[in-house]
Amino acid sequence: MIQPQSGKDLLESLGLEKIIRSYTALKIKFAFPSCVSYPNLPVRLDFNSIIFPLSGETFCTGSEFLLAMRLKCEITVLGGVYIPFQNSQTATERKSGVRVLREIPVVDPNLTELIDVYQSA
Amino acid sequence: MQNTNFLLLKKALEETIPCENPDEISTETQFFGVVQAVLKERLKYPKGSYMNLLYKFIANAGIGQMARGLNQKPRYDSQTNSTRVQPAGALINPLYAGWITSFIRTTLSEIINKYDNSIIISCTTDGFISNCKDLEKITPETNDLFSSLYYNTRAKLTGSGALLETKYVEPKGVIS
Repeated sequence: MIQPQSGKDLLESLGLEKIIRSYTALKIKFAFPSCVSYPNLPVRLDFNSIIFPLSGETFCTGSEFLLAMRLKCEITVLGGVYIPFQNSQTATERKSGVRVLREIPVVDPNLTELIDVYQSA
Repeated sequence: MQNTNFLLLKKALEETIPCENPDEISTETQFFGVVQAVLKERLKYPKGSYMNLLYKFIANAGIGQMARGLNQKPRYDSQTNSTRVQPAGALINPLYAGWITSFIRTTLSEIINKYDNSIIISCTTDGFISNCKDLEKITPETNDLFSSLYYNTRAKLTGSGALLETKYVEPKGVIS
């Protein structure tokens, strides 16, 4: 869980790479400087429409938060979650990758070495 | 006005959080190997051929399957010839689906903010309508975090990197 704090503090505590290699969902209050022509934080109006205003309150992911910070946006984090991704592949995932690839030769009769390519990678 | 904005923004981007070295951030996840193997196979066939397009479809299908059934919208089902709420797929994973869509949104936002000295009138998912010229020649600079990540990952997957591609040129458009 991410506690309420400023965007700058969150960026300092987590760091760039951790935010990119994770699923981070945040509820934030934001204000872009007026020089930004295309603000990147979406604000939902109803089920089908979103707008990209210069300031407001919204939910966003880690990458959107990072870009907004890079565009000099003033961000207050109201709360959120941080779920890191695994760094390496487990044996089960490797097996399921092979299972997915085994289905493919059905569409391509000339295909033989796809699984070897995958396993040797 | 637009040029002033562009200069101010360029300055803001230069002063902002430095991204030390985007090349060192690994984007390899458990699906990387599968997509890489399929794309390697795709490259054996000439561009535009049936098998080339089929492998493109197979490589792209996994991403769609991760978000399948998440929004509970009724869809047309050809088996029953009626609309029904689509059930979740075997690969469903809202976290990966959310990450993928947000990464592409962010990369596109970074690109349009960077090149906003030309007119951009519309953006949809992974493309935009603009009067930019020589899009193919644009390569990410070291300070462009997301475009560099995208560019490097694409280069690792297909062997050749391209950040942007001109899909269609309209000679008699609103901004041409």
